[in-house]
Amino acid sequence: MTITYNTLLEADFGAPEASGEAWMKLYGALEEQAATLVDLKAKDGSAFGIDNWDGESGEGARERVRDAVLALDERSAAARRVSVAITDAVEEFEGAQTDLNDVIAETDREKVTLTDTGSVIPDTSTGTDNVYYAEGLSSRIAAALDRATEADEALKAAIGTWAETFSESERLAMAADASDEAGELQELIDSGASPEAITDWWNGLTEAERLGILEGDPALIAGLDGIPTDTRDAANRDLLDAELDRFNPTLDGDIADIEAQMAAMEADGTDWLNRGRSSGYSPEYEALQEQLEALQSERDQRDSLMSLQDAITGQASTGQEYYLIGYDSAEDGRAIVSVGNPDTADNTAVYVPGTTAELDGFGNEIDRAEALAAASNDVASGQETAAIAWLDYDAPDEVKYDAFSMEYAEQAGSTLSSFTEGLSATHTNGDGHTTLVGHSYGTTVIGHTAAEHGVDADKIIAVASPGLDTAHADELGIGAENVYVTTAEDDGILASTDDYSWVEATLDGITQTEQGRDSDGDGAYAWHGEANPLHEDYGATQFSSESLDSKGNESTDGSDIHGGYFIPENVALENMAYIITDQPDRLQPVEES
Amino acid sequence: MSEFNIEPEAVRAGAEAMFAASEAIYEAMNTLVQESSPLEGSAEAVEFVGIAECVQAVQVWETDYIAVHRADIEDLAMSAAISAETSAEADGDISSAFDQYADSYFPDGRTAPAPERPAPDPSTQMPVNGESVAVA
Repeated sequence: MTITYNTLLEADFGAPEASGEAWMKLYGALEEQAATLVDLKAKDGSAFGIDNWDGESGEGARERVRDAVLALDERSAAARRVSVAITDAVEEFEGAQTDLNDVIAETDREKVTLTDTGSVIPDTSTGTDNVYYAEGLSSRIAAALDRATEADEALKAAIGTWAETFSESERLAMAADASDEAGELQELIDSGASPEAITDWWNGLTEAERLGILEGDPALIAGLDGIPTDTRDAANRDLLDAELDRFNPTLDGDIADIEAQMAAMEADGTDWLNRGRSSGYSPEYEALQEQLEALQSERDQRDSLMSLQDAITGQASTGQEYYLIGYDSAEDGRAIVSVGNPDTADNTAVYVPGTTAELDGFGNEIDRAEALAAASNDVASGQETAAIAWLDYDAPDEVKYDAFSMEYAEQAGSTLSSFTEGLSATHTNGDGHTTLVGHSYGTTVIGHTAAEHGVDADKIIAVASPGLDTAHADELGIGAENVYVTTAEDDGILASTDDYSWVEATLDGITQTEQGRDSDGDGAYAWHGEANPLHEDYGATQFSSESLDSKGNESTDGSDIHGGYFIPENVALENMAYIITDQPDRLQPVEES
Repeated sequence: MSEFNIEPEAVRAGAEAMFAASEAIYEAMNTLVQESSPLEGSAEAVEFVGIAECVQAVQVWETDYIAVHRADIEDLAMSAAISAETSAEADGDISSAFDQYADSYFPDGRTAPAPERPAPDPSTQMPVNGESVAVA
């Protein structure tokens, strides 16, 4: 519906503004109550924990609490988006109203007559000059009305989508209306468009078209660099919900049934075939084994996805939202989760984990990102830092066999490079400051990506690096002065680069003592890159870290120390926060540790 | 499934926390309703389709979505309360069974009305494929 001249002129947007603020309060209340419910089952000793309530009803209660928390979390996110949509619309309405009032105030009444309905009639008694003047005014009035109308339609689409006031048919119609645009986007993707080009194209759509694509084809945009973070989050959460819904609800029972059948066969001896020369498991038992393995694999996948869903539910300890920027459940699984919105944050850290990282246990990687965000927010008051746990690559499964290979980093390179470009393209809050933070093999991924594909980042931090696939920090393309490294004394990873250490490390459950490989001590050795990043010849700035385990205890175990950097007790975290917030002058150099 | 075991005091505290959560959600929703009431019937809601949608959203959330969240939370709270009070698995008509304990959970009465689940959408109750909905 087109907004008319008088409608816009006389409208009062105070009430919508107040309503928008109340939606934000509702969002806060729903988040708060969701957190209260989470606490009811957070630990075994919680009110509804297994220590206090065991049995069928207790188990059922914990599941129902989880369901209630997920529902409230989803609803609170919707309330936040509604609030933002109203606030944005009010801003546009008021802007359009101001534009209109400016035209009225600037109108020269001796040249034209401005009617009550907004028509501009030129005085032609002195010639045709006033006709052009009138056309200019009419055009400005039309632009103001168009601006208000567009904002109004965007508001309707946003409320209909996020507040779920649209009927099923309205949602389908919105998706159908955007099918041409979805096709255009697919063509852009197929043509290899850059994230910046994607962002430009996306920004040229109407809100209804954007929401139509989200509604009709979330998979198209869920993992697409250049699409705004909040939109990717909504798309990925939809896909995650849908994927979890597809798991058979009787999966656990089916597994229990098969296990029971197998146990019965084992008890009565029918599991084993022993006739003459042929012996082994009976065909029936083998068939059950196969079924069991398939179902267990399915259950593992489901449980990993549920853990991911739990990890991104509610607010982070920093008070920031979680954003699911991407995920994939295939094979080891992948995920990208941000603590805080990088599109609007002042600073962004992209944390790339290393060997053994996978979807199962990704909550630990999110914890590290959260620790980076918390520390950064602490050392830079008035600024927001978003921290992303980025696992959009197949990380090596084992140190012993896989982490020597460059294959994993090579396969990650173009993906990480594109991701950093996307962050830059969708950032709306000034220049921003982006830091890539690698841990262990993650540093190799970052080094290789920066050197071979380029990264849109201001700084790089390499923690406990086995080499950055470069001989000098300059090769990373952001200036050697922007590259920072640290490895704690006695970290087992030193064996991959160091010149002197005898390092005790627990590898695959066995404590081993390894000697560093750089026998010449000239820094010309690393698993990846023929240069020790810690050596002064590499050209990076070294900062201090402590030999602590992940609980903050002093340790001499190389493996434990390797996992102990992203905790408040370790000065390494504070130092990383200084780098992430662009305060390198506050760094504690390695000599002072 | 492991055997039933319950620490009544802890579970009772959990049930109380859930009732409190439901009330807090009601209060927040009520604030939204109050703050948005000037929009209802306003010229802006008539002339701006987006603002009209906002009015509808508040109504739908109050009567449907938030009511369902609160009902789910309170159903579980009642179930927990019964298990805590009886030290037994709760089953059957939870709402009626809870009535006898309600006073101890709301000693000063409720500050928020009990949630009411929305009635089923009549459009989903239409007969399909010749199905009869006649009531005997």
